[in-house]
Amino acid sequence: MVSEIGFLFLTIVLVISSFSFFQLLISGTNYSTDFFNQIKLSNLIFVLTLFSFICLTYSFAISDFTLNVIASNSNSQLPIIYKLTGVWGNHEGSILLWLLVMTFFGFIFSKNNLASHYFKNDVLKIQNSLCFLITSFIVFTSNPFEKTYPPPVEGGDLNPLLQDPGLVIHPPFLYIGYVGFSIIYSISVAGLSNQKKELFIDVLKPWVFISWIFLTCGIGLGSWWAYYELGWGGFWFWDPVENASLLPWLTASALLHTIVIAAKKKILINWTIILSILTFVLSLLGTFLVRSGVLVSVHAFANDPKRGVYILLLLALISFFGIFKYLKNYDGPTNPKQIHMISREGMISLNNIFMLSLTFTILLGTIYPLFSSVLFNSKISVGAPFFNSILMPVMLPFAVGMIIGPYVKWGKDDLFLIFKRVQTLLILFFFISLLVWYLNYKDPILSIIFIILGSWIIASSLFEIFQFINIKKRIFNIPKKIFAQVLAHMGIGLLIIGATGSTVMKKEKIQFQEIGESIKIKNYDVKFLGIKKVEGPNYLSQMGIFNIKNNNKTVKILKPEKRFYNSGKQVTTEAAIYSTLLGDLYIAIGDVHQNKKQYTTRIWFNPFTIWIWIGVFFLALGGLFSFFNSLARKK
Amino acid sequence: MKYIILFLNIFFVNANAIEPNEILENKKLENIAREIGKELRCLVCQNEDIQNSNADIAKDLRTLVRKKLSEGQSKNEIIKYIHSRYGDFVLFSPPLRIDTLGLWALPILFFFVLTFLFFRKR
Repeated sequence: MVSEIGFLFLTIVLVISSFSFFQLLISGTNYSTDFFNQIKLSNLIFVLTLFSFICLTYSFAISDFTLNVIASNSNSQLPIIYKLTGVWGNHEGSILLWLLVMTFFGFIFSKNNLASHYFKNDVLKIQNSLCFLITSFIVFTSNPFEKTYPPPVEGGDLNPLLQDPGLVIHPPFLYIGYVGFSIIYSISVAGLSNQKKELFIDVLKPWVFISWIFLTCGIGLGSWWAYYELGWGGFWFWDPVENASLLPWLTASALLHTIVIAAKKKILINWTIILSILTFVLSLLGTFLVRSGVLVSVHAFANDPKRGVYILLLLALISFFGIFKYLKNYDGPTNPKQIHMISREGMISLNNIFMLSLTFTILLGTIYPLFSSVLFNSKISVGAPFFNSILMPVMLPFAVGMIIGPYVKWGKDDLFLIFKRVQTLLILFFFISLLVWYLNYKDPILSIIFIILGSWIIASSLFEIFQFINIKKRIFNIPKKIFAQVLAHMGIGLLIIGATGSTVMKKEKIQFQEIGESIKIKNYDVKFLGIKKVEGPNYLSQMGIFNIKNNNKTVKILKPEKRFYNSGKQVTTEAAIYSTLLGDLYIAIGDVHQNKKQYTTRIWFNPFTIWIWIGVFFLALGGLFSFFNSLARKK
Repeated sequence: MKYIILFLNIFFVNANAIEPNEILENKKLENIAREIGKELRCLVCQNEDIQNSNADIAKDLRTLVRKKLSEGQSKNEIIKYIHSRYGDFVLFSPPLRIDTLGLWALPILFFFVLTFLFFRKR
């Protein structure tokens, strides 16, 4: 019964949002001829979608196996938390979550008092139309309320890999980020028909930051989950899905640099609009790549060509609408004079050029196998070695730009003057490099270079605050935008150090370890105390007990597990990790061997890994400062 | 659905691939074996190198790589041999040819066009 009501709500959403869509087709973004109040429509759409989502969640909670998605993706034995989060552990439910977030952004925007009533109406007309397109996708190709007959007595199961706290929050964060870009698209496209384009930049700004923060956290959470759940300590795999989330993140990162100049200097406004449109289009493209099954990936819940074609159509429609609006309203370049490379705006332009080139390369690498099989009938693979070989050389100019960029003046600057400004910093760099080399001289040369680079970025960011205090002679009231930039750049520095440590400097011990045997790794002694059989709510676990000693002192007992899930005869590894700021001790337990005394154990020491996620946290914190800064300015 | 679970099983669950008895005594050779392992795709998996895959074919390839290394063959020789046997699909970094030229040329072109557009004189 509840599920029927849920579907009814969804159908009403389809009908109501279609009003906006047809209105947009008839009158375009022109308020005067509208029949409907888009603000009221957007609120209605949100409330109804929320009800529909609640109905689905309720059906999951009571394990209503008459619904197809629940019968195949949930189970009555599941702990209640995973029953609830199972809502987005499948294609249909996760697209409904996507829609919910989209309507929520429309709802929040309707409460925004920065935009004028007319502009709000225009933006929401586009946002509601986007909701219409997604709702039609759900209703016609991915209906979560579809029945199955006869209903099974017991459901399949939520993929055990998804039965994890990390996966409880990763998808919502990612979606808020992804879908947040829909409102950026709507604002930009609506803003195009405005007489004064620069006016809408201020309205746009907070939304860019907030979506970017969520996407950053979403990607960070995903990589953290992969690190501890997949059992071999990798954190980034260049999987098509990861690439799909990285593409809009890169363009959004470019956007949040550019929007600062657009707002301040009234230049690069056209470019800001292009980036806004592109970012949302890439979010959609990611969905297409992941959900259509053209690129098979672990995140592809189901490969249904019908869905792929439908998303591709939506993608084409939304892109062409954006491009059409852009060309129609194009009224000449917004940069009256040339941009000098040696200037603040020049540095930000360089940032954008690199970000976009990286985006293009990753997109190309992700879809090239597809092209080449269609065009040349040749089956090729593009994987981690290719992406790493592109990323590593690009990091160098990126880092240099990040280091000197903040010290470059607006308009036109002089290399010699910049040099004079940063000479103290250069001396500092010299000593940092010596220190890093002294501490890590035994490690591969590549790791030393990247750790030095990361440290330079952190040092130059901190130096910026120091210089600000020095010049302005005040310690308090440091502007939010300086904090924002310093924190975010430090985050990148930390990220580089963490990523370098956990890949290039990794130490490994893989062996058949006997109960009672000790293995030495780095300055730890890992003693295998024994095996315990543990019964979980819906799985059996083979739990290893390891005593970790550092300089003959026990610091931690680690309990890595191998879990056997009751429902699907699936097995997962749960690594156990002892994290310190210097590195993670990471243990995964494998199979038992003939004599029943030996187990395969895999022990790693991953230096600095925790700094990856601390770096992500700094990035998000920097974003938060920018967000509050962009709100404060209006008042 | 069954198929997907099966597929996930192959792909993920036993991701702890390399077994202790596969590892070479000679540390230098083992390191080279790892480097080679990262370059080669596990043919039946999705986006996974042979180093971290539990599939049989990945295990066979790992063993083959180590056997050839012990016989004194170089990294390039081994990759070339496996490439000739399994085709382009096995290489994670595709060979530079006319049909893969775009993969390297287009990003460079893109970079220069963008740089021109930003800094051109008006």
